[in-house]
Amino acid sequence: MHRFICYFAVLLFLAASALTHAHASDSPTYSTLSVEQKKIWQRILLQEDTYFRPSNADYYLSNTVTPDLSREFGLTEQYLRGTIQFKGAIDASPWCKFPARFAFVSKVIYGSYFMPEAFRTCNLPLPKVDDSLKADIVQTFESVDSGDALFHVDLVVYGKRFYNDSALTLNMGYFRKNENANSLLGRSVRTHDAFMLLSAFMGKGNMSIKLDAPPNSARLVKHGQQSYRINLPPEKIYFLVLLVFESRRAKLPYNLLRANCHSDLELIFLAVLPDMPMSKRWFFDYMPTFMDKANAQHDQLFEPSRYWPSTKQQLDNMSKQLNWEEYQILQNFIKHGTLPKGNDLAWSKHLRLAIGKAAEQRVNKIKKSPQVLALRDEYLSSSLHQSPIVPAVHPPAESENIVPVFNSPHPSAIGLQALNIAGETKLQLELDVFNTMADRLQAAAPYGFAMGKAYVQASENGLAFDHFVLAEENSVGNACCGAMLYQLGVRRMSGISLDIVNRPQTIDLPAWKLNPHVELNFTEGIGTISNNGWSTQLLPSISVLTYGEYVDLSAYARIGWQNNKLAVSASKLGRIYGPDDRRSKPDETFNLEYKLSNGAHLELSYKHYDALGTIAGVGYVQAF
Amino acid sequence: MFRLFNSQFYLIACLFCLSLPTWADGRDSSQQKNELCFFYEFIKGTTEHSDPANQVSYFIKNRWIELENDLARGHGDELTYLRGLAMCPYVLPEKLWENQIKGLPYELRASVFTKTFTSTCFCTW
Repeated sequence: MHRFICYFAVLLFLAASALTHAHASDSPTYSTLSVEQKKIWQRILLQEDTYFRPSNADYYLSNTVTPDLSREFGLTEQYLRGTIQFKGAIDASPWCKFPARFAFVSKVIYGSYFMPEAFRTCNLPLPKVDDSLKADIVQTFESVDSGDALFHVDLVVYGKRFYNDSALTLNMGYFRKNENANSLLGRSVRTHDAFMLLSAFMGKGNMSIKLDAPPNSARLVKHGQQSYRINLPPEKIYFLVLLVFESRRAKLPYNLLRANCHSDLELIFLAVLPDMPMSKRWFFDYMPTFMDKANAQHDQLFEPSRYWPSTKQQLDNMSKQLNWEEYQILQNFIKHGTLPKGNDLAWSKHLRLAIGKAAEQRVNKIKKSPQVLALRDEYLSSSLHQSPIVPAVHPPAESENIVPVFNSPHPSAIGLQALNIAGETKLQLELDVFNTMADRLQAAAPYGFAMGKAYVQASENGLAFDHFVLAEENSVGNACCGAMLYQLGVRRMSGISLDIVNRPQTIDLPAWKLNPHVELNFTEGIGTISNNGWSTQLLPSISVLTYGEYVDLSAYARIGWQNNKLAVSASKLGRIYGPDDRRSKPDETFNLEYKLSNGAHLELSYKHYDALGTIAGVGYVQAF
Repeated sequence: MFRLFNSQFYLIACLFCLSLPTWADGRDSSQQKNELCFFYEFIKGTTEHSDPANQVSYFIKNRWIELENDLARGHGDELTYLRGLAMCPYVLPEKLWENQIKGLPYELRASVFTKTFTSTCFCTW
């Protein structure tokens, strides 16, 4: 008993001292902050969005992943006032690690931000705060720059170095991570669109900063870029920079459905714009949506300023002048860096200029081959290159006649499908999570596309399956009749899809027994795609299943016609080998799809599936 | 003994007048150079490049493909960026690309332009 009382007394003492300590760190200044200042502080500490918080305790001065806002403020204030002394390397002090929160507390206490001079010992490349300080958001199209980003947004700050007034550029965003760079398997996996996209769902993002990178460094290789001038005063742009330096120390949960490369930047903007509401993010085109909202609230905060076409886009336009043989020569050069032997002067001028342009993408060939260098010189001397460039403000609009209606560089669409499977009705929610088809494609794949869909199916048995598909379309190659098929509009198509199938009879939702099966499907075939007219496809496919005969071989043939309003189609699905009850094949479907982004439309369609696998469909599209 | 005759005086005065424009020209050109340049090319007393000169040569070398596009075209973002890097209102000589760069082997091109640019934009001691 005596021992128990002793323990109790010790515990009481420890609890009391902990409380005293906590109170010592709490800040009386924090309680005097306005509502807006408290919101900024909460956003600086990345504590507003419960689903997107740092997982590293060392991101906070109190060394916890669940920081108390007042206590953090108090600790920062004490460091600022010198009540707590920092002992360590001069560039590892808390204000060097977390410059934004120290600048903010300084602003609260002393009435002004810490200016860059105060961070001199930190080795941070900070800009001078004057009228030369400008910032852009640069959106890079053609997302396939890495497996971690589907399309790319950077914050680019231009200004002067504070110590000698020379030019300073900071490019802040997510950049390619060379994971598995030395592994052959890693390389091949990462170059396949499907695996790149899958890795994006699981990837880890990390903000990084490129110093003195030219503003257009990414676009020149492959991508088109749209820039937006940020109409904020220099002091706020400076604060954005401090926030970037600070937030890159945070380890944030990163995956496509919760967060993406825009999320960090968006959080930074929210800390500077406390009157902007934070929305729950669940969709990947969030940053443009955020920019639209910000523009609605603050007039032209993100002002479209310029569009740079990509090399690929220019090449694509140039390749339209080529005949089939010339096009093949260009393709071979882009893909393999090879030119046919013989007299290049015999080539048409269009081909010579196109190769000269394409040489930009193959620097090693320019270095090593005088022939390629001469072709590039010819391109640089040509009127094509010399023509005055009028900087466009917006990317060119897609041509309705070239790009299929479901393909757009802008995600995305949301759809609802009712399926009748053996008399039972199921509802299926469809999300186009990834849809990068565009007319901005390199000459090697002028009409290629990639798309993805996620399905969630609901019925009285519960949730059913997620579905993901990715398809690519390429030229038909150099086989016997490649040129003829190409002229007819026939393209090679390939696709990969992953289904996680919950078979209805195995679902027991109350007990949370889902017992999912996996179907991995590969498709390779040929066909045409037209947004206005006839199209036809023949797509054999092979699937690997975790049930039944484990392998399923089938072929899908489809013929259809559509214009911008109506669509009809008839299909036949033929099973060659595999289980009879392959996934949940419907008898009929009724589909309602609403495309959210640019070129919004409402699509209605009905499909009937008979017992032999024949599918007949009819659809209607209402564009807005 | 050193007294000047009138004729000698006139001769010296005349010579001085003749030399004046040359001296004035020389002063003009050095002023022009000083107005253009902001950074020194070398660290004083050494043959080591200054930090801005290093940045410029690094940029030209690494961004040559894009910069050559701008040089051939006569304008562009890379050229603008380079000007900002050296803080130099560099006026591109007419037909610089056609006359001095076109036709050269690839590895010589960047260094030819670097010399032209640094000699115009950097101060010398």
